Amino acid sequence: MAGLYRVALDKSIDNIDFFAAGLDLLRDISHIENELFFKDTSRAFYSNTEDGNVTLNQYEKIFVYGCQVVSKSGGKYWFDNYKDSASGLYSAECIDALHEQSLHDSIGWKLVGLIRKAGYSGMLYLIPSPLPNERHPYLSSFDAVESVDVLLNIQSLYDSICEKAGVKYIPLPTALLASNGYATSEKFLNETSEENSDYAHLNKLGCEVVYDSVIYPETLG
Amino acid sequence: MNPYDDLSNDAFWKTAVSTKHPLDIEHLWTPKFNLLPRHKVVTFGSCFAQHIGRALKSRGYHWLQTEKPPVNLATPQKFNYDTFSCRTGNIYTTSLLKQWVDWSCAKREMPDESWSENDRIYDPARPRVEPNGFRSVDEMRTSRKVTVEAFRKGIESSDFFVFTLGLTESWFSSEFNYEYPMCPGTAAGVFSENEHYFKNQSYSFVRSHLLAAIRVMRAKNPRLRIILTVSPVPLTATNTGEHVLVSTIYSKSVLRAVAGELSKEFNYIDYFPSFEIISSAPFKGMFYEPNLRSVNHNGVDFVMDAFFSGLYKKFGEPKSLAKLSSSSVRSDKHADLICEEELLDAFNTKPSEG
Repeated sequence: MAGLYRVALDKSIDNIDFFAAGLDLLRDISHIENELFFKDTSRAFYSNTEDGNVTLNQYEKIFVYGCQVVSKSGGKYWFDNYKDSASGLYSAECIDALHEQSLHDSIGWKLVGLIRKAGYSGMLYLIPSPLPNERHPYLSSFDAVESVDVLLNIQSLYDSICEKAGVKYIPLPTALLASNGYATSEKFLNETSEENSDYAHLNKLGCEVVYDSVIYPETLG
Repeated sequence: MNPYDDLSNDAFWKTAVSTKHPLDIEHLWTPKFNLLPRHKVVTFGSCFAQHIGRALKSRGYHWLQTEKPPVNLATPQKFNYDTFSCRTGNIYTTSLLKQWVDWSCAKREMPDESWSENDRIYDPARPRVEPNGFRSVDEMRTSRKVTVEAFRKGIESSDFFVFTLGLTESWFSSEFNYEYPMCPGTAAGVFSENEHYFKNQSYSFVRSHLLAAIRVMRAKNPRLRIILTVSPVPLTATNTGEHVLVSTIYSKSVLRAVAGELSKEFNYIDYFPSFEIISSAPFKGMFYEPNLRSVNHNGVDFVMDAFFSGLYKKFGEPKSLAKLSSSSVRSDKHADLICEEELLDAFNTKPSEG
C-alpha cells in the first residue's frame, strides 16, 4: 500500500478518513494525529462487542485501517497461497501461521504499537484488505469456488489475534461482495488496469460501505 | 615386494591419521560419481540427513524439494518443510524407506490409522510433521497424499538419492502391519503391548529392505544413483535391554556394514563416510556437542567440506557453480535439527548417578 488515501464522506461526522498510509508515511504518531477518524466523539456511536454495545465516544481517537494479508508481488503470492491451501496442499494450521505472520508483518500491527506508544485511549479497527476485483485476470485462472471458504476464513483467525491486542476486527462487509461471493464487486473498487495493477483499493462508494459497517453494525441491538 | 609397497600414505594409519592433526586428515572419500550443480538431489533419512540438503543448497547445488511451504512462510521448518526433500519426517530405518517407496511407487495403500489427542489428529507415519497435529482425519489423509505424491516425484525426477541410515531399533503395528518411525506413545498415540511390537533389525533385514527399496526406485528411475551415509548420532534410548552405548555400536555397525557392502556390489550405489568422520577416535569427539550425541556445526561443516573436496579432487570443481558469499555458504549454521528420536529422552526419568 502506498500513498495516503482519503475519503471525505458527506456524513454528519466531519473529517472522517480511512487511514491507509504506507510505511514510509507512518514514521511517527504525529502523522496519525493529523488524520483522525472521528474527531467529533461527542456523538454516541455504538459498536457491538461481545460484552454488548460500546459507545465509541469514550475513545479519544478511533482508527480504521485496512489490513493487507500478503501484499508482496502485487498479491500473486496471496492468490497462490489461497489457491494451494484450498486444494489441501497445506494444513489449516500452516495457513493460519502464514496469516498470523502476515498480520504481524503488516503495517496495521505497527500502527497498534504506535498508538499504544502515544498513549491514546483508542479503538483500532482492522479490516481485511478488500478481496480482489472480480474482474482481476488472475482470479479467473483458478477454481475460485473451492477457495471461498479459505478466502473468507481469515476472520476467525483475525478475531483471535486482534482480541489479544485489544483491537477490534471488522470482517469484510458482505455488502462489498460481488455476486460470485468471493471477490469485491467492481463498483466498490478503484478502476483497475494492467498499468496500475491496483486490484483491491476501495473507492469512495466502497469506503461508505465500510463506514456504515463500523457505525451501524448489522447486529446493532 | 608385497602389495603394501605401492600403497599411498592414505592407506597407512601412521601417515594418514596418527601423525596428523585431526583437522588435517583428508582424502576420506573418493566418490564414484560426479555430482554437478545441475543434478537434482533428494535427501531423506535420519536427523543427520537434514544437514546434507541444506549444505547442498547453500553451496549452490540443486537440492530438490518436491513439497514446498507456502510462499513467504517465515517458519517452514516448524511444519517440517525445508527439512527433507518432502515432508516424510525422519526415515530412520531401511524398512521405513521401503515402506515409503511402496506407498509412493508400488501403489501400496497407507494404513488408515490415525491417533487422536486433545482434539487433534496425528499421523502415525509422521507423528511430528505438524507441530500440533491435524485438524481432522481428512486433513491428515489429504496431507499424506500430498507427501506420498511428492516422494514419488522426488524419486522420478532426481539424479541422486541421498539416504542416511539411522537406526536398527524399530516399532511395528501388528494390526495394520506397518512400521512406525516412533514408538507409539512417545511422539503421539498410545502404546499397547497387544498392538505394537519391537524389532531390533538384523544385518540381513536391513540389507534386504534397503536393496528392495532401491530396486523399486531404480525401476521408476533407471538413471537414479544412490549415496548412502550412516548417521553418527548415537541412540537416544534403547529398548534392547542392553546398555545404550552397546546398542548404539550394534546399530551403527550393522548399518555401516550394509551401506558399505552395497556400495561395493552395485555400481550405482556409493557410500560417503560421514559416520567415520564424526564418530571415529581420531577426531576425539570434537564434533559432538557436550551431550556426546548431537553433531555440532563444526562437525557438519567438516563433513560437508570432505564431501565436496572429495568431488572436486577427483572431478574438478564445476565451472557452473555459483560463487556464494561465505555467509551464505555457512547459512545453515544456526538451523535447528528436527530429531524426533530425541523425544525418547523425555521418558528418562531417572537422575544421573554420581
